[in-house]
Amino acid sequence: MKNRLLIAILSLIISLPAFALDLGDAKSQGLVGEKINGYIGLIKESDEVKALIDEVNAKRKAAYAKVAAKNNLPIKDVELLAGKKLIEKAQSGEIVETQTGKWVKK
Amino acid sequence: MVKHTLFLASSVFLLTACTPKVEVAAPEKPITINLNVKIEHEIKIKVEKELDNLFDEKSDIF
Repeated sequence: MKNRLLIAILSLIISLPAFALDLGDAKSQGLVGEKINGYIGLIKESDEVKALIDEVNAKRKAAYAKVAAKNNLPIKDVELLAGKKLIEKAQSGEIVETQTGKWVKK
Repeated sequence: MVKHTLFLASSVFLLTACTPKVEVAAPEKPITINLNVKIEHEIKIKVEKELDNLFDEKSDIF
């Protein structure tokens, strides 16, 4: 009985999704792209994707702000550096923004 | 004797002529070393490291 309860609780915790749509999936499905400004951009319009983008970008902004404050840098510098790194480390098949603002598949 | 004096005089003259004279002139402008480039580079490397950690820690948003 105790075991069952434990399993029930564990499965509840494990199954709790961070997002309705996972960022990794959204990237590999080409729904979102990595932008040069350090945030993700919308490629395929849908409410679900929009919600994901808003949430991810808000969290990213908070994280960038922390790094910027810690190093006494303008947030813009951190965003651009992060954008460059994220585009570099994007997997092949994922979509990234070029310097001219176009989406390309890596 | 005369030869001797002449030799002495000339050698003294030659010796003084050979005394090295090094002049160190102070620069007119103060020497400034620009360290900005190096510091900026170090900050960039530090921030890059922090971002790498961030990407690993928060893989759900990166």
